[in-house]
Amino acid sequence: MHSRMALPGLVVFLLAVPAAGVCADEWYESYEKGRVALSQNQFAEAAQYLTDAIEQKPESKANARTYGMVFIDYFPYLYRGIARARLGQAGLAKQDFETEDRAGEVYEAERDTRAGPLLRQQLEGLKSVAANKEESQPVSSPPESASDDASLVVKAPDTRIAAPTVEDTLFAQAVEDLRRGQMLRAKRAFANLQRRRRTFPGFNTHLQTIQAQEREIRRGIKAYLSGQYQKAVDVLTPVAARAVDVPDVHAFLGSSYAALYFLSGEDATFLRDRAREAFGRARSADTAFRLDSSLVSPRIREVYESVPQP
Amino acid sequence: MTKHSAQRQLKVGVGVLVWGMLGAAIACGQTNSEIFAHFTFNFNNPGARATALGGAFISLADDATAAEANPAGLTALVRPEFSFECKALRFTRTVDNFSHTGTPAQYSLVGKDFTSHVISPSFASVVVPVGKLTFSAFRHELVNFESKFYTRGSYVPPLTDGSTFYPVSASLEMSVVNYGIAAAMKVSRQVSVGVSAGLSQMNASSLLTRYGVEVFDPSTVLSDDAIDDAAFDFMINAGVLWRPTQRLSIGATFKRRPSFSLEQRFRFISSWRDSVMNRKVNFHVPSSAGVGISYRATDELTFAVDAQRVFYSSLTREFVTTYSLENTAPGDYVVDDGMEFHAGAEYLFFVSSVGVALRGGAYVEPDSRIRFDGVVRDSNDPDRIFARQLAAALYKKGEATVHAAFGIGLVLSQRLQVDFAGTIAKGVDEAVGSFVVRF
Repeated sequence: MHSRMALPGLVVFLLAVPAAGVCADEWYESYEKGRVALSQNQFAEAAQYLTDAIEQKPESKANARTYGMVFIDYFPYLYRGIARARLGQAGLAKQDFETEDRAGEVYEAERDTRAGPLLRQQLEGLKSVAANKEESQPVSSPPESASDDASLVVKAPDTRIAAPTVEDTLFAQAVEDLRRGQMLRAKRAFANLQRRRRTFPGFNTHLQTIQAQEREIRRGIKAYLSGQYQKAVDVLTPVAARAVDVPDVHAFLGSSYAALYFLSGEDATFLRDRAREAFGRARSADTAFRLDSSLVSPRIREVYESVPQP
Repeated sequence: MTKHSAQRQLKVGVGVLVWGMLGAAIACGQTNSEIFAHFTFNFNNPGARATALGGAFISLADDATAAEANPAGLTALVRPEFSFECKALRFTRTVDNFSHTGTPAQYSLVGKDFTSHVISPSFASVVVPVGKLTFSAFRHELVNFESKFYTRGSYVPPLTDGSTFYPVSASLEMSVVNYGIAAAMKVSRQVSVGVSAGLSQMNASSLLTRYGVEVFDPSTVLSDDAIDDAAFDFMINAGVLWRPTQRLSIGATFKRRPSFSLEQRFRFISSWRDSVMNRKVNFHVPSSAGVGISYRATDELTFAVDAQRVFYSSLTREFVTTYSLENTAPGDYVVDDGMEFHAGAEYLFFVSSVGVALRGGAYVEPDSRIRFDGVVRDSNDPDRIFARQLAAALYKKGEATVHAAFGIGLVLSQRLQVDFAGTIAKGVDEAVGSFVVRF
């Protein structure tokens, strides 16, 4: 009788356990997922999975034991290096390749026998690129995020891990642009990739980020146009840092500060200074940008015009 | 045969008759028929790998046998897997009261060993990970026991009045097979939980025939009791696994095992009329709770230990006396809960691309025999003393059994693994072969 009562209880318990959001992958699961993502050209995702695997099991190993009697060749640095290289993170990729090389396990592989030659190719590619650089300029530390150094990655013989395509580079650049606040530039790149019908891991998330920022910009402008200048400042200030190349953000932020300055009786000069700073950023984003005379008062436009061209 | 001993024998027969007459009115349970006196369980975890590790698998449980060993371990599997096990068992039953030498005044009992063999597919399972959950369907032979023996009749020790046991011939085949499903999930990266549940089927076929003289002929039959029945109940296993580090694993399980009700037929043959009585006999397969710890010193070397509490006392729950029922009581028959201890180690190396695992272990199985624990001379009634003496002679305390285990595993490819194991112990030896196919 007990079992008849205990069974549904345990089932309920299992269903009740909040599984959502639990990152419970073992290192070998993350490694496997990373390899799969890499083979599908999902480089950012691959790098993330492989980093997760490394955090759990940092040692590369040929014949690494997973569960039961299941063994795999575990070379996370090699494959993360490839993923990072595809993402344009040549410096980090180089570190990974060298770590894998120092461990030496890759050359003992029984199963993943192409890993050793692949690593050698990557390392030789690094040497040749460095040699080429030496000829033209003094060698410096490789940048951590140098999309123009993607040539460091030697084209792998394995068709599953192909050399980066134009789209890969575009996507990586767009992600980096977005991270740096170049929202318009990133938006154009994503639109371009969409026209090419290419999808990447996190693509939609990035689009949603841009859309959210655009909503905030509209909300800030609306606040300004309705005379809620302080609210406009509060809304536009954070988004200005994430949309550096959108002149309207800075223009309306500057206009809001300027309006607050005039409303303060021109006593709060720091507001005027902030307005000028914002207008300066707007001019930097687009040197041809002009304030719309139908939306902004002449006094504010005067402040704007007083800011020199960059 | 003296007149006195003839009277004793008659009393045994009368006792049996009384049982037959009252049987329908008595609450039934596992019986004190001597066919069950030496019945032994073997609750070792399935799979040749687990067997070779001395059954220490609660905290490892990282293959398809986890559905039985510890369902929580199923979460380790990231690919579908099929497992199959075949087991050969050899039971050796020592019948102490096989015969005797000497005179009624001074005699020696003669014991005899009887062996039985069982070969059967003992475990099969398929495991499929689906998202965050891992599912398994399995068939597990929890019990598979055979015993055949006979006796030539012997004096009842230590009585020296010539009282003898009647000769008997007996056979018992009993199996309990679980058909179940299991589900497991990770609560966190370190903690997994799992449960398996299903239907248990018991098949029992036993026949104990008591003869008046040592001539095993229908004409000399005094009585027989037989079971030829099947029954069903539910079973459930629950487990948890905690892996605080990559190398250390701690597991715990609770296994609620089934109870069965079987029909027993008792037939008493007399010169004036035969009587046949049917009754229900309940078998409570002992549940257990266990914990285990394993430590993977390196990828090649693993140690594991388990401790398991087996609730053998359930064997005497609803126990009834079917012989000597007016002189012995159910409370006179006891069996204690016991601790099983399992330990094993596995060392792995590669020959070319083939992984070879050498394993060894041992486990200690507590005495699980039902024993007569009453006071033999609790009155001056000679008939009662005789009956209780009889029970004490048949139901004696056993000993803990140490099983030595060894085995080898071969990882022939990423998809195929075969394992072999053997255990040696007093009373039971086993050979196990299993394979795992991964998809």
